[in-house]
Amino acid sequence: MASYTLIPTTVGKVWDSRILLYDLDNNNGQQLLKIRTLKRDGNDNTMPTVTPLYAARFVTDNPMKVPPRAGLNPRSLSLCYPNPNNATGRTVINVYVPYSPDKPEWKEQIRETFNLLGATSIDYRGESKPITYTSQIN
Amino acid sequence: MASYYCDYIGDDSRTYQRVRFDVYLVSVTVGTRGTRSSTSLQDDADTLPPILLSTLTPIVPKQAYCTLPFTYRNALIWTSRNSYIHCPIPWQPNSLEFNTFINEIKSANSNLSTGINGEFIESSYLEFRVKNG
Repeated sequence: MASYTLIPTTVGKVWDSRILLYDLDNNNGQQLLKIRTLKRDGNDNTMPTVTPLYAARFVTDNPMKVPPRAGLNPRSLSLCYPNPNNATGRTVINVYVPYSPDKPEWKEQIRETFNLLGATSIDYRGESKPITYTSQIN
Repeated sequence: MASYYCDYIGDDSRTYQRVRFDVYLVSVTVGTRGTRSSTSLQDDADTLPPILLSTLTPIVPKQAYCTLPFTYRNALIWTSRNSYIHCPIPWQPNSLEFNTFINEIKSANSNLSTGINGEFIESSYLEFRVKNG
């Protein structure tokens, strides 16, 4: 697994910085994304949010080469956990789905997330992005 | 609002048959949610990508059609600075039809911009789908 840097935030959460190889929705494209995965929440609870198929897409290449997202909202799962220590009574964590829907790993990663991470509910949101027009580039 | 039906393929590869979709125009002013208004079949023929037009069939009144148990993939095609057309994208990402749709949008000259929005599936139905095929 990749080595990582812990980034403590002002509210006490601890994150791992990662680089993710992500399949785009069209033309079999792929893109590197800078992401963070939550390691401990603000109440010092350990929050393991990485499943084996998710970890399989982490890369250790030079992060300076990662391009900006340019409006891309990657496919993601919203995991909701009850948390009585929060004012909202819950903690919501996003996990990206790097596999495009036409690959079997797409369903496997979601199944794995349901089975291994113990969230109360998990919503799915597909990829969203703006389209750049060829006529505007020229 | 022009209404059509076609088969819809979800991100989970399942085909949902004979699903009804509305194509409509939304006018937006600053600080409001926008106002929906009708489009005609001719408006849609002038605006929508050809592959989408060839996939959609106008509905026949008094016939039954299906609705989806989640929010479907859609595109917002901005035709002016304050209005866009809302239309469905019934193909699975990375399929030939989906890629053709994106390429046709990219090469369109009459539109200002387009936003693609993915599916949104709530937890109970997502769990049902991934655990049952």
